[in-house]
Amino acid sequence: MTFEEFAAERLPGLLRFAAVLTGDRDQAQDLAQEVLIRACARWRRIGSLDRPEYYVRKMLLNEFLSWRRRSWRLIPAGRGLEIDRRHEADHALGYAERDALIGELGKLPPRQRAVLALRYYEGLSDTEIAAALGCSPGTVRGYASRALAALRIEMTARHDRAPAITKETR
Amino acid sequence: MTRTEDDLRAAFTELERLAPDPDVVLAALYHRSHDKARARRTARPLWRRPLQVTLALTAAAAAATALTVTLASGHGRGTGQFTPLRARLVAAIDAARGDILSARVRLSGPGQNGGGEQTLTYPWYPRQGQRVRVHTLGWGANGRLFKDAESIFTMPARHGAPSTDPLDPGERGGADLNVTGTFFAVFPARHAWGKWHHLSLTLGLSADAAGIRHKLATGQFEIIRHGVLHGHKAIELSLVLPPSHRSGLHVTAALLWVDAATYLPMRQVLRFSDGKQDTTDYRFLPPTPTNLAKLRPVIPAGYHRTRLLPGQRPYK
Repeated sequence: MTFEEFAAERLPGLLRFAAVLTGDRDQAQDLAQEVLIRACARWRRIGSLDRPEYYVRKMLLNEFLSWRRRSWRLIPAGRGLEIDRRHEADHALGYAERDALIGELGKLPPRQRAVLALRYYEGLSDTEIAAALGCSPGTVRGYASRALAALRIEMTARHDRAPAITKETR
Repeated sequence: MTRTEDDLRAAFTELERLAPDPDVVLAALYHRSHDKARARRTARPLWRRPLQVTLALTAAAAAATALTVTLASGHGRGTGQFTPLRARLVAAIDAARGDILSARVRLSGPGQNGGGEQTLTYPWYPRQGQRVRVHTLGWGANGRLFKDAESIFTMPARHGAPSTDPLDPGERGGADLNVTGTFFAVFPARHAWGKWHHLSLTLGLSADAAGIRHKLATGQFEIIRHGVLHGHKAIELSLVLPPSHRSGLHVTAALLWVDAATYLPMRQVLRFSDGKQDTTDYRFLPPTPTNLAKLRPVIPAGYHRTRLLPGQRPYK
């Protein structure tokens, strides 16, 4: 598979994943470019893999985690906490609540956010997430638990693989 | 309000909408690649640089200036589909802005008897309002140089835009760029040189960078095959032409080869309804002092100044 073929087939999905990780279009573009320029330079090796998209996705994830370590001081804070919860009947409240949740997602530590994205967006099992992040499944569950608590999300009974957003809707 | 895992999935779905445009990402990526390659290229001594064969198009030159290219207008044929190659090609054209283009034009076909050639050297992709120098060397069928000339003008607006692209000339037709400027020429056969200002200039630019870029960006070129040209891996593209019912001279096929490594144009072929074919080979040169000097004609010692343009008779 050439880089062009890979890009035509997989780039849109990778960019969506970058957007989910960063929560920002410009940052997603920067993140994707950083990864793609390295992937392109090493494509002879990456392209020969059975599933190069997994490798590039892992590169994306690693870049996101290291990148956020470098720039964590720049992460804006304070968005979404002012929601007036007395107006739950308000039609717009559903959107406001989603915005608030997105804002709070942006304030999570990168590993916690990555775990949630991999579990609820990518639909990976905790074992698969652990392999991607290079930690144990128990650690993954710890990250997820703390993140969900911070977001005040009520967990349903946890099976190992969370239903992901269906690919057709992406 | 209690949040659920479904709320979290909905939030991620919402974030998906922030995904950047793949075309934009790839174009920026390839720009960076080209910038790096360009930096390496200009850092190397000229004599060690590989001859960057490329080039694109334009100049269907003297021979072509006599021709009227009449292509039916075909706007809106773009597929709008995301294609990485298209992004690469557009990025390559943009990245070469500032380079110097050397275009060798040959006209072949019925009645040409192995006619002459013309080489035009000019800035690639000049901006609107930019001062442009086009250096022209013309050789006759006998191989002798008959013209060493320079045309200097200000790039007009909208050249290469859909409405003025020579390959989409609409009803007017014409592959030429008509401008007013200065013409400086050396005529070896007459041992003379001359310089004329405020002259109406007609340049045989059969298409220009902006025109190619527009066609690539809108998907009007389709890939024909991968092959080898001048020893370089190349990609052959064909301009999607609408069926023409015109009786006059018109283009029946427009082909473009781009370098598979640099993605810059290497050769353009225009085939006309009268059986003639116009072939233009391109080389991109970095804007070094040596190459910039190629834009200037040289007046050999002993030549006299003339006020007569070729074909012009003295007033009696």
